[in-house]
Amino acid sequence: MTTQAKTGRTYNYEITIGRSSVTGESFRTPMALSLGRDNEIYVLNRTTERQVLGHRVCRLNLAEEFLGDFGQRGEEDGQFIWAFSVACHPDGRVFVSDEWLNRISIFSREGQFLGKWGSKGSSPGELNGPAGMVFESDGNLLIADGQNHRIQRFTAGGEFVSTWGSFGKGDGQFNYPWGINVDDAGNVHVADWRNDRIQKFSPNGDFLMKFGSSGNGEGQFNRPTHVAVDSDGDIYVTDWGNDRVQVFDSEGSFVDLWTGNASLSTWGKLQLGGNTAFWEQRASVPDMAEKEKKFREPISVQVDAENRIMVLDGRRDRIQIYRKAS
Amino acid sequence: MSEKDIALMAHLMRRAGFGASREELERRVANGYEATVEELLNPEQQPPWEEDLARRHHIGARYGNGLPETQGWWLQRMVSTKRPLEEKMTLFWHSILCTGNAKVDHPQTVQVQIEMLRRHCLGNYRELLGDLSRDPAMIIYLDNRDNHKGAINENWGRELLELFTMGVGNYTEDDVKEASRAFTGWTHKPFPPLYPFQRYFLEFEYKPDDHDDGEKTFLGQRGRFNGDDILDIVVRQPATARFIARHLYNFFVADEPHVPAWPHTPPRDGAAVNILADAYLQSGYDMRSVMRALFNSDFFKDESVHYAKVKSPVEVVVGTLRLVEDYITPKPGIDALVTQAGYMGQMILNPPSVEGWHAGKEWINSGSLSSRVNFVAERVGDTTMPGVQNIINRLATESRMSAPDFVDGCLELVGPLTIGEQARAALIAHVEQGGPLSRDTEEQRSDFARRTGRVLQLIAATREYQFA
Amino acid sequence: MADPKTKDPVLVVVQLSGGNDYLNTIIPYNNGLYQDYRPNIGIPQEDVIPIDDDLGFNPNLAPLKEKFWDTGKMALVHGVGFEGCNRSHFRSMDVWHTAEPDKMGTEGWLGRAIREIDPQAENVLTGVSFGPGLPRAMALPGVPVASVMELERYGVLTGITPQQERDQALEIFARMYGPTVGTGYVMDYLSQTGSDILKGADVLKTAPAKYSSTIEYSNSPIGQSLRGAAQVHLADMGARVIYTEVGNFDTHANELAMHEPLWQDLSASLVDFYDDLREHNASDNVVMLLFTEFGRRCRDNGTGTDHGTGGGAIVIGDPVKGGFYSEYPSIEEEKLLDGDLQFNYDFRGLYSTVLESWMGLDAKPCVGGTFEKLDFI
Repeated sequence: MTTQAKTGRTYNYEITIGRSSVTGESFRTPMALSLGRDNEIYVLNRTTERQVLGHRVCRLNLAEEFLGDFGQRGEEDGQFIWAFSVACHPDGRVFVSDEWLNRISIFSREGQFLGKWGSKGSSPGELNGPAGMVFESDGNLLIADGQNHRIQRFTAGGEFVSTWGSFGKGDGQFNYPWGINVDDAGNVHVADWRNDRIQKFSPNGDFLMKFGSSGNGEGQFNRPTHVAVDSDGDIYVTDWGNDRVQVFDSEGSFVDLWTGNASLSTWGKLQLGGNTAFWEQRASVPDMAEKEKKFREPISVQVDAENRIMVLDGRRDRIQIYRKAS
Repeated sequence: MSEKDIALMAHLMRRAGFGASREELERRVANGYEATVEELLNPEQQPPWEEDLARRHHIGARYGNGLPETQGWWLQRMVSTKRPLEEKMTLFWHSILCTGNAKVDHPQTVQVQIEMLRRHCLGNYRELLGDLSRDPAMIIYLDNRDNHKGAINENWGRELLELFTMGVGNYTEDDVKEASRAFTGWTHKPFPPLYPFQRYFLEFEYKPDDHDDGEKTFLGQRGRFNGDDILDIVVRQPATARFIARHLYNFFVADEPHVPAWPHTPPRDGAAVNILADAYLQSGYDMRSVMRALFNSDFFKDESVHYAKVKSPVEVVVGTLRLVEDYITPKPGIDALVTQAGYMGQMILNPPSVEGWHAGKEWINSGSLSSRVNFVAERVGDTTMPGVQNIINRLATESRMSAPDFVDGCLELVGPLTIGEQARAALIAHVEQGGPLSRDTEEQRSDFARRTGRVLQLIAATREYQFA
Repeated sequence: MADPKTKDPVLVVVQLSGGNDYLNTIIPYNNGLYQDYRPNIGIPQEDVIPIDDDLGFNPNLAPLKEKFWDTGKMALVHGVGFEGCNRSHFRSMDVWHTAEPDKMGTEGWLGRAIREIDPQAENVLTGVSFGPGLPRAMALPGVPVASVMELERYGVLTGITPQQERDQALEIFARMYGPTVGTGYVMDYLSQTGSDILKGADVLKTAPAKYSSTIEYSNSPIGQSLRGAAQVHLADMGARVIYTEVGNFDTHANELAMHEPLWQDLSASLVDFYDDLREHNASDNVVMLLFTEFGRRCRDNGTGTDHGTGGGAIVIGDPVKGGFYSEYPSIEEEKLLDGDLQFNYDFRGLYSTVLESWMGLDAKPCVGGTFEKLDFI
């Protein structure tokens, strides 16, 4: 499919990767995705409490190869209770935040547990419900400190660097911030989740801009979870509660709205396999293809160097990938 | 503020909700009984449940792919809602108009049904029945999707009359067949399989081609009835008014015998059932009016019906969590608590059959009684819980330091609850055996807390504590 | 083999909840009417496991046929039911549980049987039920029955440590649940239940430790219930009536897909249970009774069957004389009762046979009258 945004941008839907399962080449209730080196993608899954093995990070690539997984539910090293987000360090290491244990766990590129840091509290450098994370180009880690309603900057080793923000509705204030991302200039974009808006800051935390309000109209949000910026400065927001992705220009003006274009994935076809009952059930649904396209609680978005927009489709256990035509 | 006022308010809050702390009871008594009733009857005036926060932390649970998280989702809401009657009424309807996931096998569709019941919980019963007849989970549970023109499946038609409106003895087998005919063509749309991309919501569909449009005779009336006509007829029947009234009495006032006995056994309080049935008919089936009549009536306030109901397992679990103030905000572990209620004999979203749970005395057997006692004891004995700490602090502030005073204080703060003299004596003897109570040193304060926890555990184990 | 005369007879009841479709369980596979009635959910003739020229087993019962029928240990009791069945699960199950088809009963027939066995309630484990709630069949005021989810978890105030403090707490519990006068029916019932827990817990918790077996049961609820039943039986604690439940047999829709896993699992679990007892030389004093609240309509409704009346029961065990009992109801159109198999044998006769011929009890007080017995024991 090709969408022709009003402002002349063209987006092509490319592929859907994923399928639903707790283990193996699949996702279950994924929370976040992060781009690693060599076109690798890391997807963090939380699943339900009883599905101990489903609390894991999956490693895959754009060629739909499943490269492995690591983690499980628990409080031991390398385990998660309420895993929230995943972020890849420029050197390839993988960081995972856990909003219940208030800790950041560190893994090698292949998933070997390397270490952890973080403690609960509200003083600078302490965490309360760490949510989204992103690495800056210099290797510092920005964390949306969810229940402290602020942004904190740490070194990769966990040393506190700086912080900004407090609880509230004003400029530079937050209400349960969720996703966080940086653009090519190093400016910081935050999905200010419960304020139903996106805020943009300079690298040192100065407020630059905000956009969005509560609702389901164009440019409005219902609990936006994540934000990403492409090389032209266009901004993509997963409008979680409205089951859609919205696109804005660098000034925060509405550009486009996507409800999804997914297709049956390679992994999905394998899963259906020779089960004729499933195929028959699908055939019985008159608008199956239309139904299957739609986002359901899209939860995380990243843009790669080639302006591929990867949307983690939270309740459909898959990634929908779009490409912006240059 | 008399102890009698507190006791009445506690009774109201146990029935219209899941109990309340001493502080809340005192606040409400100061506010007045009828004002409290109005507050309960108008849940939209209280802050809404923070559903977005629950969604953030229990990610994916609202419309779960599996049953435990879907059950946990509702349990979390019952524990943390500021609109207790809304959840209690929803539980009431779920206990009567029940649907079990064991058969539907589509948890998110059952969850949508619960949301529908909540939306109508204090509304008009005719409207509720209209949505219930179109509810995909119910359409699967009672097989109306297999109810076809010329080939009826009478499961829904029968249970509508037997269990949801009039009760046995008020209609004939022919009425069942005719009602079933009227609901032919009421089904749900085809839906995709679970794999590979998870479930999709089910949607109601009316198929005119599959509807038997012929003339029907139902309860003595003739016409080319469709399902809504059947609902119009049944909802206004005096039998329906009495049936719903008796259910309300049984759920909110005092335990009645089981439904199959109703045609043969008069109600415990016939006058009360008449008052509720009248309120139902006069208000045009408006449940808020009926509940107002119930809570403000003398028969409800009468001391003889205080603690005249055996607590349901959900009341045990939710009431205990609210008492100790656990799970007031989202926290891991809620799914497993649903299983605890299951051990006591009640799995929400999965009643054993369309007749719902056998309540009252039948909640109690040796297995369920042990589960109840153990569940509550484990929690009220945890002196780190805020609700338990409140009780400890209050006992300390009021310096309830003699053994009888201490035991009575504990009973007041978890109830107020009156227990038999023999049990009270046993508790007092237990406290005396532990030596004098004191709070002068750190060690004594910690001992005071520990002993409070132990007495609360023993109170939870009493026979009297099993009642609401 | 031990002499059964030295062992007390034991009854294991398996309740098939929801109304098992007898017509698709024991199938008149050579009768053309069967396929006519069931164009959608009929078991194809070639899939049926023939017993004789008329009747055959549903293929999912193959393990039962092999283990019990072929060895003469399985009685199939056809056409069981009662007069005036109104096709309600609730009511029909109540009737089966209370043996009172004519009025609302409150006393369970097995509760009465347990009272006959142990009138002074000397052993609180004479009756043991597995599952989340006590079935009404076992319920009778004054008759203790242990209702068990897991044997190890049975008991009260299990969380209190150290043991010395728990013992103190249990003493207080015992005092609080001591007999009281004039506090009401439910209060008395609670007292009784609480006291029985204390007695039963001490004994039951020893069963799993005493048990070892080569049998690996299914993880399903019925598999685990029967495993618990085996543990209790083998621990020799005087349990005489053991109750289990399996469901859901309410096959209004998708009957073929629902029936298959239910019967496969149940068949395997019953065989496991028997093999387990046999391995411990303890099968000769056990009889299993499988019953359901009603049969289902003759004609299918598309993919399932609606509630009917006449059904069937199965009795299994070493002491059982295998074969057909009572008469398989005619499926000729004019012989049907409102489209249902016409019952021809009162279920209270089945109960009486089990109670008198096997348990050695007087059935009359348990089933409220004298009914025609069969000779399968």
